[in-house]
Amino acid sequence: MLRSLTLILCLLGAAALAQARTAPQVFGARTLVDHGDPSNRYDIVFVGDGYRAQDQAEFVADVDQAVRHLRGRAPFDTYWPYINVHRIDVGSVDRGYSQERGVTKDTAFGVSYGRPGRYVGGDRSSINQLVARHAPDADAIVCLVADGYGGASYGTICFVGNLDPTTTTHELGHSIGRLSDEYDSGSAANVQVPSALLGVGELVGRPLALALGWRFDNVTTHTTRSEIPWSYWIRPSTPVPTPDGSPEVGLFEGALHLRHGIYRPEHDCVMRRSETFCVVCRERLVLELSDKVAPYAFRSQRIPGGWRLGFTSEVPGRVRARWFLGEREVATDAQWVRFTAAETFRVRLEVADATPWVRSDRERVLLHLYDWRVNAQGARVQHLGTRTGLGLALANPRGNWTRATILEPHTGLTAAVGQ
Amino acid sequence: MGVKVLAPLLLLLLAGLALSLGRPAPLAPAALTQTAALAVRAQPAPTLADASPPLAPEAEAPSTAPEAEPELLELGPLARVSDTSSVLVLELTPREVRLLERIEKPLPFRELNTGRGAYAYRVLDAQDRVLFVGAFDAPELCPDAEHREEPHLLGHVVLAHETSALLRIPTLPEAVSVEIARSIPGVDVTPRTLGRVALK
Repeated sequence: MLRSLTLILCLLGAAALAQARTAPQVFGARTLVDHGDPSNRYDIVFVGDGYRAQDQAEFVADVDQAVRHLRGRAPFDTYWPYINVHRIDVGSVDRGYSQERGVTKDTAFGVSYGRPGRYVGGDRSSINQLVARHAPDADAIVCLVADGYGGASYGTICFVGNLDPTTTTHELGHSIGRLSDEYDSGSAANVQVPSALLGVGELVGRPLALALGWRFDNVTTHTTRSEIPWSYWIRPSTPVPTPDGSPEVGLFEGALHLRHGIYRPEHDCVMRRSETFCVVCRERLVLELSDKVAPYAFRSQRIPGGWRLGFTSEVPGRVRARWFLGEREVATDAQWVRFTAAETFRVRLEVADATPWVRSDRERVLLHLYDWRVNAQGARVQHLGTRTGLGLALANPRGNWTRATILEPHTGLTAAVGQ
Repeated sequence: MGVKVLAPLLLLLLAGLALSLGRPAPLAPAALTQTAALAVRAQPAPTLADASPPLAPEAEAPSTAPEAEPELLELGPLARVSDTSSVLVLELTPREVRLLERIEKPLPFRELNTGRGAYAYRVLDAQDRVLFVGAFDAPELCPDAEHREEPHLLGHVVLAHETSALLRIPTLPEAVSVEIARSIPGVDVTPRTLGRVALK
């Protein structure tokens, strides 16, 4: 009996040892690209898995290569001042990665590849705990996998093989822009899916998202011009669906790992096979980056008989500004206004990034509205409120659960806060 | 401070008052009940390059009295909710939420960091009063608790039955817990509370 018990305990111990993972060895953390306050920037954090202590120089080089590739792609090149990049140097015991039904490696985050080419994943809780401790802030996390290939995004965290730096940019397209794949290869690529099924049913997991109301901005099942999400980018003369190879924005069949029944905006894109994001993906990325950054700083200055109000902008291009005194527009595209008055009056400013890369800003991310009450003779400029796409807490700071609070956080646009 | 110092200041003040009295009376905009006059110095639309130099006094600004230094205003999205942040490492499933770790950071929490997405959180005090409301997203989390398919790719985003999330919330002294609910379009008819995690 005792022997049996000992044997069982030994077997259990051996099993536990087989699954045990050595805790990540942290060598340090470094900010590679510092464009300012992390609470006002899009922060990308790189960690590595399967890089041993002696492989750290390789990890540094792999991160640098991935960052260079990302920075070379629009819109990341132009909006680079919105981005901070951090690197956390982590050592693994073993080099490489595990395979679901094969080799087991002792790596920092236990990254393993499942069915060949299907997906790669690791211990996201450990990654989050490490990043929470060592990086100032994180909006997207890239786990580079030594000797790995391909990649997959789990929302904020993506796992990317180090063998191809373009994959990092592609996966960050998922993580930052919530973009879908636009390629049409894969095990189910040739399945003919009835269009009705694409909208309401589940097939190999993918249209489930569409059935559940999830939507990607860069793929659609709609073929009617007015229902195409990016119709405002399509010229009236462009046929839809659009013949493959056409250089225009249109409606190209094949996306989301399927060749038929799902459409993409351009012939090629980073989310497919290209080195360049298509205009629709570029637009979405600009909006997502802008959603994490408030690029305006304000200054007030007391002057004899009144006030000056002014702003500076970190927008990497032209901005449009409209100043209002009460309801009357008093200045356009002015960076400064001077007010002299005998009594209290109200000043509003509407300022927006005028980038031509965004044609549809449904959530009004690029528009910031500011509202002041100015007491010219007194000693203060009172800020009444702000309306931006970030209006959830402003709209309902003491709110209960309501659909409006949760699903439509941008309802703050409809009324000035503080009125 | 002697007369030698005060006298020039007094002269400056009197000169400023005289100039001020000599200025035309402010015009009242028709749309306003308040009396206000406006002098606008329309400058070119700011660009990154234009924005870089510090804001210089305008050429036509009255200079009869010393002007205060421009004050930097943290407004709107940059307004601080708290001077520090609490980073919560959460584990989420379609049914529940668990707190793995809480880390305090000297990172200001701004309105900008309120977040958005299908998951909402409420920071509560000991009496369950709502101190702050924010949102986040977990697009990789399978919405259906009964859905038993193994984690799979969805537009190359892996759809899983459990996920880990970093949630940054403002550090508020009265806060004792955070409640999390989700409302995914087409899935949750009403918001579904996943649970509450204690902060103290």
